[in-house]
Amino acid sequence: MSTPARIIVGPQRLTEFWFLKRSQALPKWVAPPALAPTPAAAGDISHLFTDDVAGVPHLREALLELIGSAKQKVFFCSFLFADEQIVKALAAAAERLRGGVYVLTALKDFTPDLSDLEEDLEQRAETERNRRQRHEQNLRRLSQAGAWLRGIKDCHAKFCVVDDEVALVTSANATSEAYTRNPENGVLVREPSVARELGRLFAGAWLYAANLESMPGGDLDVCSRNPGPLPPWAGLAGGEPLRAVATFGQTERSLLERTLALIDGARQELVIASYSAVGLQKHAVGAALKRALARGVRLLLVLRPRPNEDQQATCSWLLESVPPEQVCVRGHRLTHAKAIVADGHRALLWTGNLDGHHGYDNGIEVGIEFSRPEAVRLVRDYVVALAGRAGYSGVFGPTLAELAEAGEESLAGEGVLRIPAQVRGVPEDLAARLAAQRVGYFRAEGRLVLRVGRELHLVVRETEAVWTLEEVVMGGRFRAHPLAGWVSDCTLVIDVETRPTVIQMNNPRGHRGGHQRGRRR
Amino acid sequence: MSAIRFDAIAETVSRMGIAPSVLHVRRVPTYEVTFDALQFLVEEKLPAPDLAVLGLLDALGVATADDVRTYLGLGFEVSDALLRLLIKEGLIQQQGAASAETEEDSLWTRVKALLGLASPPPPASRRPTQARRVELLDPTATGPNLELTEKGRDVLGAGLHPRVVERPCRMVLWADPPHVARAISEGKQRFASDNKKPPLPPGDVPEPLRRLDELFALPVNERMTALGLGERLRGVEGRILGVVPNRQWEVRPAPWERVNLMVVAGFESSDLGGWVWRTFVGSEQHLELYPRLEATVLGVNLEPALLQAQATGLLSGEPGVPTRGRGAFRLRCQAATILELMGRSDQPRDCWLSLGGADATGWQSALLVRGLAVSEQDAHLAMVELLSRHENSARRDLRETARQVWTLLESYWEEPGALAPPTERWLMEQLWLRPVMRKAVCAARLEDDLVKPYREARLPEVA
Repeated sequence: MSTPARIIVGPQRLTEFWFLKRSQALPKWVAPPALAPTPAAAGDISHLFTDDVAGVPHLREALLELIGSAKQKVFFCSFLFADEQIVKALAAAAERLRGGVYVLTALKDFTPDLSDLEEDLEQRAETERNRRQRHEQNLRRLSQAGAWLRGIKDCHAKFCVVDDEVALVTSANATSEAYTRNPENGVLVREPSVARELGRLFAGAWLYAANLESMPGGDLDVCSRNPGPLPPWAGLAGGEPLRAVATFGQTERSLLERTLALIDGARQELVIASYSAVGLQKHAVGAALKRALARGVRLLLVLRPRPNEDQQATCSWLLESVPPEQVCVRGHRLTHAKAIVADGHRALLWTGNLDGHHGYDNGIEVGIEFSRPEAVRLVRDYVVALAGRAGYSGVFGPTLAELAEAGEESLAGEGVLRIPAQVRGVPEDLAARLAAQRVGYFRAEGRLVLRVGRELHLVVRETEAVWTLEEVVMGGRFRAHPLAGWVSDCTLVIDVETRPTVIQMNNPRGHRGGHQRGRRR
Repeated sequence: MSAIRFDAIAETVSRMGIAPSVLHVRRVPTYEVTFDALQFLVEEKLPAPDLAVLGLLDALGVATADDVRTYLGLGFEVSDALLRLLIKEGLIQQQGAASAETEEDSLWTRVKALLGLASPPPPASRRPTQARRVELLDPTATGPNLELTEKGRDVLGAGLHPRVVERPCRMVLWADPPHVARAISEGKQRFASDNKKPPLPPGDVPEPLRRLDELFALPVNERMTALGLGERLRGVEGRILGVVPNRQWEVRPAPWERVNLMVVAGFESSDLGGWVWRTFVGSEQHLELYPRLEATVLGVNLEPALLQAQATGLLSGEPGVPTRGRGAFRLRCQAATILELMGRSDQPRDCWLSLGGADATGWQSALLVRGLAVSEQDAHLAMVELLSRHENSARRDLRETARQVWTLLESYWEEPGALAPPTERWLMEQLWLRPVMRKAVCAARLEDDLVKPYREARLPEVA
């Protein structure tokens, strides 16, 4: 850089997908329901959800009723057991039925990631600690009551089957938060043929996949076990208008098959809710979604807007070059609901996510696919309503200014970025990067750090309207540091010290100079 | 003092032959008695010169001292000393000499009495003393004036010369009844002998141990009955003659002595209703048959029917027919009692039922009993308890284990088919109430809950 470069940070458009924290009206084609959806039954299918607005635990109530009605046996699969009432009901069922309560859960490797985006790191750690404690206490109670606990490493399914007659498949883990606070949904099926297939899947997993167990009737005592080989497996049976689907390692892959069929069958729209969308770039589900978008199928996608690079990369890949009017992506900070509705005619409610890494080709997930119009409408209405009250909007290629505006904090103003001669590692194209890439900031080690793009970190010392560069760090120790906000509406003059120092202060917007840091909402 | 372990005692008795059905047990205090001197009769081989003199007199009938001197060729002094010794020991005598009883004669008479060859003399301590005239050999005598005594003839015939020796001795004895348990070898008991406790004051010495001189002086067969002491004491050479008159003995408690149980065991005999009673002494782990002490004189209850009635009353049960098997008394009782009788074993087995504490004479009694269920419900409850003790097996196969346990009980009760086994539902209910059995109950329903319903799974539909 031979001459002082004058750049404006903010107008540059980012070539990625971003969730912006702002509410936005849904497009007309989404056609929101006139009334807020309520849990309702359509024949032998009931769509249930946690009413996170009113705090009504419909899912928990349904589960309690289901467990309480058991006459012979209860199969319950949940990664977590952190809900007092569910545990109490299962313990009571074990006592009443003299056993017959079989549980698949996490007995080790407890690493849930169900954090609330609005909690800070310390709060999240505390929440997780409490949840883990509750989980262990509840497992102890279940074991003492006579429930037989087993654990499978990659079991993410959440479902309950009672007497092979009724089944409930849900996105919700057995936690109080899932039943009262988080958007979660599920489907209750009173069709014995479907319940029996899910029961068979549970039995297969419990008997032949679980490698940990705690025997009933005593304190929690987790021992490893060596499950025998799975006998010849007949895939889950079922058909129209209702069927159970699942992923059971490499043995049962009907979830993937039916997901692909559902997406590929869509002609007008896909309405999807998922906790996450990751790892789809090289996965069949991602390819199917791409095909659907390519043939003009509109997409409503509701996700949890996690600061996750994988999700950002996946959504960027998926939505790149898709006309904005064809896609509507919304983010809800607590959503954990899962559903795919195609053309309003067919729905799949499952326990996994749009996750190319897990759940379609490995692990254990279950789902219910159905085509009863009334039931499908209930699910679609729920997802649309969830999108309607989502606080985040997904945007492909926003400007940095839009990004900063959507955040709570940003840096704006004018000033000089002075680059002393002794500072090493300054990229030749620094000015170009500042003008084209996202520029965020945070404070660390008592200094201001600007993150340019993903890796480049400029550590500067602030004096009035001058930022003096002290250190250049590529990734390194600042890679995982969260951003405090974005730099926007900022004019910078880059001054390299090898030349006689010339400081030009431009103030096109009438500011007296100097960077202004302010809170924006 | 630890409680008497009837099962251990019965086990020890059983090792000697058959298992007892009744045990009466009492602890007997053990004492160590140290005698200053006991007399023992030691038979020594007759020395050659003595044998020659006795042989000469036997051959000649009568001989002079000069004959003997000439015959031996040992000179006057030696021959004379030899003859004096033989006269002193009463093996030869001078013709016409008064047959005064020497001390040796008296001992010989006592020995013969002890051996049952003559009536016993009065106890040594009461024997009257008698003065006697000392006869000196006349060195110039040439007449045939020496002859064999009767004793000399006996000794010559046996070739052995009995001598009386006095030795200190320590023994372990019981006081009630008085009984010699064993002699203590001084050579092996240095610590004990060097660390003796003070002897009991006379007033604390049990009465039977104050009369040991009398008891020791009894003829062998009577002494055996009275003291359990025969001719000899193990480890001590010679036959016991008794306590040296006017010598004392000390009595001390024997704290380390293990031989302190007296056991009267009752056995069913092969005759219907017949019972045999035997007495044992020793410790729980080591008992010896003690036939010298008749159970009938010990004041214990030798009426099995009365004992059974006592046991029945104790258990609030109903008397059953005495079994012919291992000799256990059968008692019909409620489940709780059956379980108590079973102890902690995982097999139904007879147990020793104590009939209470010690009586006034220190005896404690116990019966070998077999608990039979007084009702079907009680039998079922007993089965649940026993089944709970087979947790591992039940966890593998509860139904089969339950069947085996029921068969086991039926066999034990010797009433096959008399009672119906419990229903599976009832059994599961009962087992569920025991947390330790919940594993087994859950495992038992695993097949029904997780396997059977899905065995006929349909094949996936062809797309």
